[in-house]
Amino acid sequence: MKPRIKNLLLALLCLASVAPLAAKSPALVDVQVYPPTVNLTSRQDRQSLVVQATYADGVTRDVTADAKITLGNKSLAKLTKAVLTPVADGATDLKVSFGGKTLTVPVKVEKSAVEEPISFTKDVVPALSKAGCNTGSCHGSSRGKDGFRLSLFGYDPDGDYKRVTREQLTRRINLALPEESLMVEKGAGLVPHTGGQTFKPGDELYTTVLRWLQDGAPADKEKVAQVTRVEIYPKQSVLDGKGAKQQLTVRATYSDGTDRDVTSLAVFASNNDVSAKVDKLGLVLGDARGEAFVTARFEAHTVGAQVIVVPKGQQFTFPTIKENNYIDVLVHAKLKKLRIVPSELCDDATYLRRVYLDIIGRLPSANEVKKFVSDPSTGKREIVVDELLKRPEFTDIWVMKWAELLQVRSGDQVLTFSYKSALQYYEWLEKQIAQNVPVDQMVRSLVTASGGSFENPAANFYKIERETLKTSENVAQVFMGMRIQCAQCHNHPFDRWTMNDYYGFAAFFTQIGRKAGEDPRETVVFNSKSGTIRHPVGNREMLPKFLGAEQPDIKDRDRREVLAEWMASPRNPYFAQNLVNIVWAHFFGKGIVDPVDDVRVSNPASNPELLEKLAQQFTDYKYDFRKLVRDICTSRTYQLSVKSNQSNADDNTNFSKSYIRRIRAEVLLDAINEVTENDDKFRGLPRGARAVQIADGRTSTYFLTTFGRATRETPCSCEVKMEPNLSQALHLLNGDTVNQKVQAGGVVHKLLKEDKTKEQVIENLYLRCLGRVPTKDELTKLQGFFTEGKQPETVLNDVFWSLLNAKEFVFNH
Amino acid sequence: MTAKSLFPILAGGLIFAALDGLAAEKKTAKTTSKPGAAKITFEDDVLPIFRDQCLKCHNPDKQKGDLDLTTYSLTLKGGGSGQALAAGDADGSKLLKSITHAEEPFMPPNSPKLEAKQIDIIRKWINGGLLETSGSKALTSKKPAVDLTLGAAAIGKPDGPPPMPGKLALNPVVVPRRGTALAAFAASPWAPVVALGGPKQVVLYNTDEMEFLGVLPFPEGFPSDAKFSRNGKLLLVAGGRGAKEGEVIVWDIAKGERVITIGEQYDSMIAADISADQKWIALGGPDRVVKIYDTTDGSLDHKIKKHTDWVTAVEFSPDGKYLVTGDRAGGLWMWEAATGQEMFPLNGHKGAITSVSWRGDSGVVLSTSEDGTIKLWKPSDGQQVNSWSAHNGGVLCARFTHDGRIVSSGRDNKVQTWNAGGSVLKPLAFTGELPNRVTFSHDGKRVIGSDYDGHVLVWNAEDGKQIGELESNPPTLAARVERDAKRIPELQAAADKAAADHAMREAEAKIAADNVEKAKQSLLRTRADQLAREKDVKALGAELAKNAADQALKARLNEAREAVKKLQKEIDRGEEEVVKANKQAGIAQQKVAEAKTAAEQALKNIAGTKASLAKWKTALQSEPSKPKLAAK
Repeated sequence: MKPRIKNLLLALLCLASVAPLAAKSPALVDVQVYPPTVNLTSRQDRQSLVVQATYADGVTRDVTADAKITLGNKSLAKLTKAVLTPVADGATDLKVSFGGKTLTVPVKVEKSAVEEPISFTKDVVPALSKAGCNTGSCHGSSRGKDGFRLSLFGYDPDGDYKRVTREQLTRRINLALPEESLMVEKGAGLVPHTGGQTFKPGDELYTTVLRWLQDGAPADKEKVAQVTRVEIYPKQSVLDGKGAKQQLTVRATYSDGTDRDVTSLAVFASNNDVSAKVDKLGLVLGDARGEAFVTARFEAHTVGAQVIVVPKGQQFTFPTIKENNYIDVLVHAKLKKLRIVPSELCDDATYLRRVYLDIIGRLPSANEVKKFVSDPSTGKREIVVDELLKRPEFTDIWVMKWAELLQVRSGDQVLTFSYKSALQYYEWLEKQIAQNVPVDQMVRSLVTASGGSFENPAANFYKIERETLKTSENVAQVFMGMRIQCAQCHNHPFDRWTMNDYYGFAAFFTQIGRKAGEDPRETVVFNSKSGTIRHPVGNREMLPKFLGAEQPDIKDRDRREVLAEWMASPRNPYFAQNLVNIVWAHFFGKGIVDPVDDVRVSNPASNPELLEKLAQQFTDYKYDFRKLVRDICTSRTYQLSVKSNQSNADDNTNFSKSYIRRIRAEVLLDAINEVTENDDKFRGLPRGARAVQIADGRTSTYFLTTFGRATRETPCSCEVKMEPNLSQALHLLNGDTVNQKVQAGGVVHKLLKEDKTKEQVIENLYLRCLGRVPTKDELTKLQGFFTEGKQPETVLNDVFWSLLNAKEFVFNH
Repeated sequence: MTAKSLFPILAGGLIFAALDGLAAEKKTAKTTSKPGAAKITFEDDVLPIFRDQCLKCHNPDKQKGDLDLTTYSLTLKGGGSGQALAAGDADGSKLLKSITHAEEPFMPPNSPKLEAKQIDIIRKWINGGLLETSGSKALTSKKPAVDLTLGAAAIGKPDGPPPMPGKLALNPVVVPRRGTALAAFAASPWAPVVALGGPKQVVLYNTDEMEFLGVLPFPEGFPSDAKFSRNGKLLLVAGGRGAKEGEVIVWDIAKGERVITIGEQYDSMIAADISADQKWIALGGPDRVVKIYDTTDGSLDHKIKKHTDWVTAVEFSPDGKYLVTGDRAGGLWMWEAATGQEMFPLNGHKGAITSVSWRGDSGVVLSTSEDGTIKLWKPSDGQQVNSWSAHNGGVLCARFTHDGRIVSSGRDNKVQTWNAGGSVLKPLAFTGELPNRVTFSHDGKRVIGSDYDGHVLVWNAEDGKQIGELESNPPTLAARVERDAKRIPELQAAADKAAADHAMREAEAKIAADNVEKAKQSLLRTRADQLAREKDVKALGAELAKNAADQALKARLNEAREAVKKLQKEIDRGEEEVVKANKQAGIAQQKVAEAKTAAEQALKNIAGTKASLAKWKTALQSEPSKPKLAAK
């Protein structure tokens, strides 16, 4: 018996020691319960709770159902699953325990006996929003749908009330038999409805609308509390693969101080359904590896939560990689969460070509390539960045980019915006960049510009755009990266901006006086000291208010000055972030917020910490953006290869590898001219000037237009077209640019004259065009073309032509 | 004296005229026949007022609203919104509407109205034919030569007694907890009957007696339009269930039976009508198509696809020749009823058409719109003959009487009667909620209107006084029995109180009559006394004449004279007493009469309620079916 028991014990011990190993469940690190406090303020109030556990491997788990939740004083509230409903007034707390950790949530119950009547604004409009009735494709369309219109996402509750109850009398509502009202019959799909069934008889939305009708469809009394804030919890989840779930809870705070669980009324959306779907009730369901941003919209507020999905049960260790600066630290931090390993560094030749194209918009010469590749020193990449930043071509690139943002383009008629003005404006910009004027200072000069546009070309800012609303929109888009246009007519559906914000911001630009100068092509901009703007709903006069910030004192001041002081300063968080994002997008082909001028709640930064840090650094550098460029170009992240590994093959937002980018129109044309030793003549510029130096947006060539040069008709980042397309490929193949320039430049002829062998010529052409020497394989293949009866020069010209048509030439990689 | 030198004294003269009211009126009436005297002219009377009040804006420099009032010809020319004056029709003139604040824009802006006498001058000037100077000839109306007076024959009145409903179900189909806005709302053209379409039923009332007549069940859904046939014998109701199905049902109201059913519509109808010869039924709704059915075989004979939005109004002309239909985009057309062929587009409305109504002689048709106007059209050529802003924010409904008056309701929450010229006859006080539908009773003496909550009020059209309310959501027979039974003791108590009051008043009157008698008696006695004393005076006087030195006699004479004087005072007082007592007796008598009427009325009320209780009780026995009550 004894040995048998021993064996058994041994086996048990083995099992005991093996079991945890087999499960390998990482240790529990943290438990959080959301929301952090519970306030119940009416009889029908309720609050749902979510408990989230975080484990050592970064994975989070929704443990609401597993956590032990107990109420301190059970006579005050009722707990059903994880939802609290009021019973009696008083204060107590809730104990939430999981995995040995206990948290306390204070609970306050007030007015538990008061049944709040159904309010049209507070209850019915959100119900219609949740049901999708007032979206742009349904009744929220400006013309309504099937004869019935609601305000888009309920921005005008009073108007909606009138339309529902009084517009088409007797059709939409039936106060005598409320459940036979067309409004509920259509919504519940009991009668044919183009929009189908949007709620079900008996569900919360149906009941809300029906109860309101049963009460006689009352109008709201004078004041209805406004939503001041909406919160979503948990803000971040890391789901363990396909099938992992996380419930979200959304809470709104009202101007009367009350809060409300609006999880069932918020409209949820995921920006990446492939990785994480979210259902109508806010339950997130993990799927393919990746990242999703889940937004919840309630009234005019949109809030978001980040959801990362990692492969189920994957063992992952992030390798030790050298981090050159803060950029790498923050990029890696994000990659670790996503369980992505960044690509390897690119080789020297690739780096040199990339950094030349990005910083100065030129290709390195054959000699420069050779010299750099053979240089054995370790810090050579930093050194070349420093050298390039001193070159004048750097200025050209950024003047071009600013000229695009500021729409430097002569008008159809001389008097609207003459070529002379365009040139002056361009030269003013060139001066700013060349002298390294801090960007905040430059922006202040533009926004506050006064005087004659000849004397002070910055005043052209107000000459190009004369409309108040457009000017205000452009300022928001160019300097803060925001498209606030939607809010001109209705509250922004996917962002925080309301019509109040829109017209409050526009009020800064209502007192701009413009008059003709002595030269009719000149415009004198001055502070007219009068002029206001009115809110289209209610017609009240709007006072200037910063976007997302306070209402400043404008007494006796030029409104633009007040705005500029705030806008180009650290007080405005969007300013520095927008600029660093524009710079970042130039070097990576993709913004941290992308597109760069579409900053909004529902289009979040892929790496907010990185964006904040860059902005902070840029502010600390006193808005000297050469320093910022240096940080970016010397970071390891910038130097990564385009080759992906297993973990980052699908990544295209987190900078785990280098993204292949087509070279933009002007730079490409300059590059073709440079390698073929040609020059072009552009309007207003001497022969030999480069395309990046063209001052006027109106000036273009067939080549530039085909490759998507910005027309500068709008300040949109989409003006520059970077997408490759067929006509571009055909133009390079058959058009007059490449072939003609190869012939006209006579590069091959010259090289042969210098007694170079055909191998040397090929190497030279490779270095010129691709910034590298040909591989052996390539050389062998090319040898095959030099057959008898063919002039070597002809063949070499063909090789040259082929190189210029190679994807490797047209793309920055 | 030149015309101009008259200005300074003119105002004084007018104050006199205003003070002297009637007399002055007569004077002018007399003097108008005499040429040259006291004519109201532009130069003498009107221009000074304009100069005082209007020319600051309506001058050649500013020309606010493109209107310049500085000269006669420019004043007649009018402004941006057309002619401001219609000769002979002051109330139809835009200028007068503006200054009387009958219509926007109110003039002068942001200031009180002109003084009444100034308005009066302008009114008389317009009615007097817009004289320029005292030498001018009066202008005659420039309005289109359409006859807004009634045509010769009032068409369609059936022979025999007015077509009243026969025995109808008295139990409602449904008794909801509250009312709702009614869309189907029609008064019989020849009988005191109004049909109110509530959910699942049409409720009929006698508008003379304010009496509930019964219900016509409409289980198909919600009625959205109701029309009596031209002879008043049929009632058409269109409706259904929104977005699901629509029907048109026609009842023979004498029999209470359905005689025509047109179904198979895929949305609730919004409007429908039956032609005077009862051959055609036209209907329209959200599908934008007007369909004309032949009632003889139920075939769909014509489809009119001209409307670009929901069809909201459909009405045949009383003579059966024309059909007018309107839509939610403001489109309005006149068709030939028999063929469905287009006759005229009636262009002009800038908002949804809300109702259409033909005058009884088919000479004019009116349309109302959310654009706030009522427009009148002529069927002979489709021309607009009048248009006026009736209700700010939109006109919801309007109907003609047989005699050409109009009643309308609108989004300004007002109900008003008008003449065909667009002048307000009577504003009617309503509930303050949106008045959705209005109509006249058959004889044009009463106005019936309903609001957003389903309240239905009845007014006297003449004086605008409210007569009573009709229940659009009537109770069940059982509830009526209960209600009446409960009311009888209340009424009895009231009758008892009235009777007691009557008795008390009678007693008071008797006392008052006694008082009169007493006062009279007392007066008679005093007069007799005085007569006696006067005799004494005469006798003593005669004696004293004989014996002049008799001091005692003298003293007695004086005493007697004093007594006569004193008695005279008493007589005066007594006479006053009699007058006073008489007056009081009169008042008492009047109170008696009032109390008597009240007591009789109270008894009548009891009798009436008892009768109706008996009626409901009997009915309850024969119609015990319990109505389906609305879910709470």
